[in-house]
Amino acid sequence: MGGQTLIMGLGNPVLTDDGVGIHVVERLRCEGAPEGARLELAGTCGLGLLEIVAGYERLVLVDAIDAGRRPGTVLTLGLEELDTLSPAHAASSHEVDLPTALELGRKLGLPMPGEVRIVAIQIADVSTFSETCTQAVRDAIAEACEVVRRICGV
Amino acid sequence: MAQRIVIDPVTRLEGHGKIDILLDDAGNVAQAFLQVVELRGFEKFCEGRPIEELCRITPKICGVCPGAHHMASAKAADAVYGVTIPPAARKLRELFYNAHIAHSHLLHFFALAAPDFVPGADAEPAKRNVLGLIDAVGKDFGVQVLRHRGYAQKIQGLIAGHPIHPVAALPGGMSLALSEEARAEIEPMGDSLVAFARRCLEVFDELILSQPEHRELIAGDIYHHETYYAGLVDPDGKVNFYDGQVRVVDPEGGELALYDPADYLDHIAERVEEWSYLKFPYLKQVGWRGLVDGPESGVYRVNALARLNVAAGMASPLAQAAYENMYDFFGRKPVHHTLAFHWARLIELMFACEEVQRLARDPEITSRDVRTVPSEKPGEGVGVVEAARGTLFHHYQSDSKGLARSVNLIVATAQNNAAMNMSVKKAAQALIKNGKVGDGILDRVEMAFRAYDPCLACATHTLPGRMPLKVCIHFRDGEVRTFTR
Repeated sequence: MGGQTLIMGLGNPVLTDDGVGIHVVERLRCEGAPEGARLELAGTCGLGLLEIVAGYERLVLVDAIDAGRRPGTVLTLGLEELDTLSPAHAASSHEVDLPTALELGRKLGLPMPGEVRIVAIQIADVSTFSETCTQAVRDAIAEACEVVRRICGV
Repeated sequence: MAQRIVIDPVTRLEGHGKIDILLDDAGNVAQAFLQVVELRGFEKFCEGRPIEELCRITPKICGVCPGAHHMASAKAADAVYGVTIPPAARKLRELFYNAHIAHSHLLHFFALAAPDFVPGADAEPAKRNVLGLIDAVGKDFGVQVLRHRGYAQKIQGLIAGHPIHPVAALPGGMSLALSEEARAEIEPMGDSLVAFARRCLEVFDELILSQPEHRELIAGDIYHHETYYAGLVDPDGKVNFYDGQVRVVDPEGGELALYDPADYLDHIAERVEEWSYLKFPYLKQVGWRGLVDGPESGVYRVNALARLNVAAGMASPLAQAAYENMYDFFGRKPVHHTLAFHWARLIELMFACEEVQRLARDPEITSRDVRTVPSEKPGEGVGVVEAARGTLFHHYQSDSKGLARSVNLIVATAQNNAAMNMSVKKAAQALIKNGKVGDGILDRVEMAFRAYDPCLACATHTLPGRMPLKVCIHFRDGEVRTFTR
């Protein structure tokens, strides 16, 4: 386990735009993961994340966000911005959010990634059951993939 | 003067809700309401799908208790097809499911609940989470928590095909038998889980029960409601997460009902209140008197404390000893103290771990005979389990081709909706006086709510994860203020 970059898609795949992070990573998988990067899917952040991310130098999360922007807008955030902008799952209050999980990992002596970026896509609808995203968000998946590749230095 | 007290967001919950607190002229609490946002289209989403696909789809409603939905759905699918699963399949489902419960309870206690007590509601917000807890209990124990969470998840993955998207249960049993190799991997994890669960009970004793201020909080009057309780019991009347009959007891512990889960509609009715998307299930036999305590009110509670209250005991030795210890502490049964849910959760953790250990050693657990292929025409079926958060009902109607025609769920958190509202109000009334509100006081009101381990994601199929949450405090003069943590 471990290596250069871990790209992790978060979300609920049956709640319309909530699953956009999953769709982005699945598309990256079809296109071929960036060199040196590994792809993973998860639901939300939490204690379970720690053993998955341990040993990677860089963590790129892909998640849905409601930041009041035009649906389909792709944002790139650092950990420090999670106080003001809350991606749906990276800032989840399910158990522990991302910054807390990472700090806990460090406290317990686990090798946590030194660089963390969150690629977040503005949602339109996260309150209807559906396995597909709304059109605007679907149209943003390709752009989000590009953003992820750029972060990975490709 | 802070007239409006807002708990925004309600932290450390699954999904989110909104708490409205209404103050009177004197700045004391007149009313409190818990509201949640509605999710749409669940029935439509399920309709037309093959019944067995529901077993894989319903776990995705929320990432928190996929295992519970997987089990309830499989049992409903068994019932739709009128098929009895082989004994080995039941054991395998039970092994999976007890690992799921262990995972859920462990996570809830350490990530969500314990930080309320250690370092405590008066500590600074930055310490009131699992990081502050680790500072108090030590790094080694923190490593143990992570390790055992991992074991509980690994066991689920080995049996159900995937640690967070279980797929193996289907009508008639399981699609995959357990190999000896996998069983041999699970066995030592089970042993380690039992030792860990014992340690958790010790930690609870050391850090919480032996501290007078925490004991006072748990045994005090603020977090206390005299309600009915409901949960599944096995043929000996002991707690069982996977299967049993529903037992309902009144506030004095007398049995009101013991029924087959398929008959739930004879016993549970749902009240609609215009200010809440989430309905209020209540006991039909007793009737609805509003959000009040007492034997005349059909409000009932589910989840860990309720399960222990309706049961004759725990079916495994270490859990039974812990059960007796708790009832000795309170000196009565049922226990009505809401914070005892946390204690009950650890007793159940003990039971779940002992079950994992027992089932991993059962010679039948690696049997190849784990599926009875359905041969009856599909009809209608109800599947019920005790999710970590309380009784979970899945009710399916199938067409003649085995496609879902209608799907109804009653989730655990919905059944605690009335009690949660009552608990928030009572805590708010006791702790917010003359408009005075401190950070610690706000957290105490949330404590009332979090004791239920609510998962609002299921309750109205609300969105998991954090969303902007408002707690609105309404002044008598019409002013409304919002707080954010």
